[in-house]
Amino acid sequence: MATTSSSNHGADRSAAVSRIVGDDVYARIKAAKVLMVGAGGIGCELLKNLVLSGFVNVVVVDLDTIEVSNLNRQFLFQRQHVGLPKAQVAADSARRFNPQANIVFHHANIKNKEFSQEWFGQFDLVLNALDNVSARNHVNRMCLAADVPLVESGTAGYLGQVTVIKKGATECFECTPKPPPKQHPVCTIRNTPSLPIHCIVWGKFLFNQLFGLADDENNISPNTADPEAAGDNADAGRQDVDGRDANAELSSADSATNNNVQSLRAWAIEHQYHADETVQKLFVNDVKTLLRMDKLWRERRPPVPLDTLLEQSTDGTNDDGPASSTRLKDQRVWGLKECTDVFRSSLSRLAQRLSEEQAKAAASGSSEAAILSWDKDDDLAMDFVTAAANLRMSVFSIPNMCRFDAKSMAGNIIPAIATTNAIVAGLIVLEAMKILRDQFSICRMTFLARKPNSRMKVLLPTELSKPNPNCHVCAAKPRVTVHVNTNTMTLGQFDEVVLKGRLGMIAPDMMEGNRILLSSEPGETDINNPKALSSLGIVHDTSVFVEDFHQSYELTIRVLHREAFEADAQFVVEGQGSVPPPAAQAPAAPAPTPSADRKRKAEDDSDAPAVVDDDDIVLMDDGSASDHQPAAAHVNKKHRLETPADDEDDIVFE
Amino acid sequence: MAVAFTDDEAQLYDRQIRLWGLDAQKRMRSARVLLAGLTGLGVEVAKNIVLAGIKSITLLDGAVTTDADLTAQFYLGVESLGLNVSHSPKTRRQKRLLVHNAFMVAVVVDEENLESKQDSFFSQFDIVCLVGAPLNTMISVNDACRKYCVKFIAGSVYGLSGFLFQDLLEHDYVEDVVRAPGEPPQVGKHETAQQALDAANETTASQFHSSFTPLSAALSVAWSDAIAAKRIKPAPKLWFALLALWQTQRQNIELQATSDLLASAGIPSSVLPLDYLSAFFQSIGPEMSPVSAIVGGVYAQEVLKAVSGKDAPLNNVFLFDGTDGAGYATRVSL
Repeated sequence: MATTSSSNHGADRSAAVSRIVGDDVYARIKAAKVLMVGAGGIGCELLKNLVLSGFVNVVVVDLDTIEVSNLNRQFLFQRQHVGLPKAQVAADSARRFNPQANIVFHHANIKNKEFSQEWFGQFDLVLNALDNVSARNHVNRMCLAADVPLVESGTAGYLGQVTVIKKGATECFECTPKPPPKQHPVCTIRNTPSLPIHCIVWGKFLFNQLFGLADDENNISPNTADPEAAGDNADAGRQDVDGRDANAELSSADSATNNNVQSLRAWAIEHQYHADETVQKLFVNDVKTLLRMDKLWRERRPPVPLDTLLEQSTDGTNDDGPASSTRLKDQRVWGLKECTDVFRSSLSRLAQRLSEEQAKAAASGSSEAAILSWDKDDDLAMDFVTAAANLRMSVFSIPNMCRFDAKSMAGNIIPAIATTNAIVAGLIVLEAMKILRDQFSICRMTFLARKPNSRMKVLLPTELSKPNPNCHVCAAKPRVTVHVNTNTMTLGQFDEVVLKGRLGMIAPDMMEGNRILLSSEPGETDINNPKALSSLGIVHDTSVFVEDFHQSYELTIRVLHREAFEADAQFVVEGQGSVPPPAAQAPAAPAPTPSADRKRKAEDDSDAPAVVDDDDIVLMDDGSASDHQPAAAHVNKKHRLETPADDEDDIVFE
Repeated sequence: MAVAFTDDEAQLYDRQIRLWGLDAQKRMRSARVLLAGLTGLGVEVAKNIVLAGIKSITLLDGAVTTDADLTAQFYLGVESLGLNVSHSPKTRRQKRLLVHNAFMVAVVVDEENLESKQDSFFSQFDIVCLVGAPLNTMISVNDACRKYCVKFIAGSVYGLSGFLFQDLLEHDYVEDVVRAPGEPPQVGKHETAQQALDAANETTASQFHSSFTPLSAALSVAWSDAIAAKRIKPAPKLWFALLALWQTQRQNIELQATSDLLASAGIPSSVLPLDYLSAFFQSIGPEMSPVSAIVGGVYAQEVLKAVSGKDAPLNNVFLFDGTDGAGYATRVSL
């Protein structure tokens, strides 16, 4: 089609780039093989920039599919693409910008075994456009192992961050420990909620108890072993409850193990998920059980059972949100009666869905029991949690919230906009070009702030930090100390929550001396999984050697025995604070500090870097846990990491 | 101002409503925007504000596509090279933009030259956005916008660097201010109703006001008058390099960093080293896609702030300095 005099440009739309960067660098761009991990918010922008800048060998990996809520910023996707793989559509769309570009896509998880160290080694450059810390940790390790330079990035709302990681020259993504997500004390969730978030967490736990994977970590029933209720006498609270009535089954389960998880599911099955009876149990009888634990209410406002509330309320409606005149479904605060109705109907429909799933599983001969998984984008599940949480808020005299806000909390949603992603993606390519010129000395960590600092900067480049010699990942001989109760934690738990959950391994092998205690080969050491660490010879001050072959990662762990932990932690990794079990990640409790407002975000969400003053202090704002969390600022005199976070949904990497 | 807002739109714009709120989104939805100059920077701005969900955008550009356009203008393909106006490259631009318009934003294409427009033309918009316009055009369009109380923003990318200037007249905006016990009032972050509910802290949407000046006033700062210049916060070097660049346009001379040039532009050599100016002039060339993305991101966010009346605008200059990778926001005015 190019029939004009400019046909010499027909094959290379980016030729003019060489006028700025020089022929030599442009040749390197053309020759470079680049991996882009993530094709979401940052990824769409980045792929466009890469193609226009002359990159022609690009591999894109993303495991996600396109959703409607992506379309406000992920401009390579359109309505008709909803449900399709992001990697594929992004590659197809970007190819139109330059048909000469060789864009290969994988609709897959970057952690898959197929993406080996050798596979990573084929690239000149890896560009992260991820939205979660777990994948970032993994790519960090793969790039260290393969010695490939990595550009790391993240966005959250108006804030963004880009940095460069080069083995041996700069700090790696894990040189700065990220605090684990905060957890709410179990007793607060089960007995004494005081904030909306406590009720939202309770609602999500309730969903799992009734329809999902019910376990200890998400028990929602009154906890009669609450030490506060018991005072100095551990039996007092239980005796209170033992003046039983309608709660016989509940109380007996409680008094035995304080673990009545199975009993709630069993109760629901026995009552065939009867809506009225479930409402009566959760919001009336259980509340009465709590009221009998009178020590809890000496300095707290006691809860009011739902039946009393319904009698008191005139028509049960308080239909409108306080701030907005809108009538959008999600923006309206439901009244008490509407909440009860939505709870009943969503409960029944979810129960029906569960039984359909079970029938399907049975028909296909599956041995596994079918369960439902909670998903913020599942309208029915979100209705259920909104209604359940609001009913509980009403019972505990906590102001109600609309579905929109409930979804923010329950889904740990990080706000995301096109402009921030565009800026961050532009910065990534500028760093990539420096790397291709071998100019690591001028590579920078750059923050996008919301407002100019005292030096007028809104985009703040800072020098890269040196590697942390004590990093548990990139040090020459990585070591870490873990405190754990060796008598109660099993090897299987250690594998799941410590090695994989906290230390980010994929398939660890663990040895003590010459003994192989844990093998990544399926089945080889399963017999050890239920055994306590101490029974396997891992006691106080035992060192174990752990290797993840896929990540080419070797770590010596010194295990120290400790009887008890703060809050609900099961273990502590030295230097990283207490750690909750991954299964029980509850949204972060609002910190009782003056700056809590800046951190107030739901748990998975988050991570927004905020820069306070450029060359002096870098504040990572927001602490929840999330994934957009960009590369962490180093905790040293130059940068202060206030709280890191992790996120889940899309972006920042998006 | 009241715009019907559907559940469907709420779903589409969910992730940004969680950032700036539903009221700001509704105001964006009623904004009529003129974007003149479909360069790489221009399409970045267009893409970003169409994604955000405005009411309408008018794309104005009378130029013919050249190869330099292709480095950053992603809506143009190589097949557009050399097409003149009669082959209507703008029509192609429009089609592509529409493809990316998942929303209900009206896109109007105008293939006339900006310079041919009467002042009254600008009165139909809420904000006029210029990209890549020469200095004289920026000044005259800014003045025309003032006449009709239309907000104005202009910017360009020069190789590795870029800038924007805006004149939002007398601008009222809302900012969520968070107050924590024992802490001085703070400018808000991601507050939502959720957070207002959820704590001992209070979030209040507070009204603010910001006064802007026209470009002509910003350019009239007498930097060579030490006393006058002292009253003003020193601007980043890039601002002075831009003044020097515009001086070469005025005098129609070659890009060449000389002390004569600085003297004729009224720039003291103390604020602009000649070697910095040389490096800047050397970096001028076709638009670099990543630089267009960075400046276009900031530019578009300023447009969105302006039309939504939410959050503090950068008053009145933003500069992306490709020599050190820093982005500056400052106020240049008497």
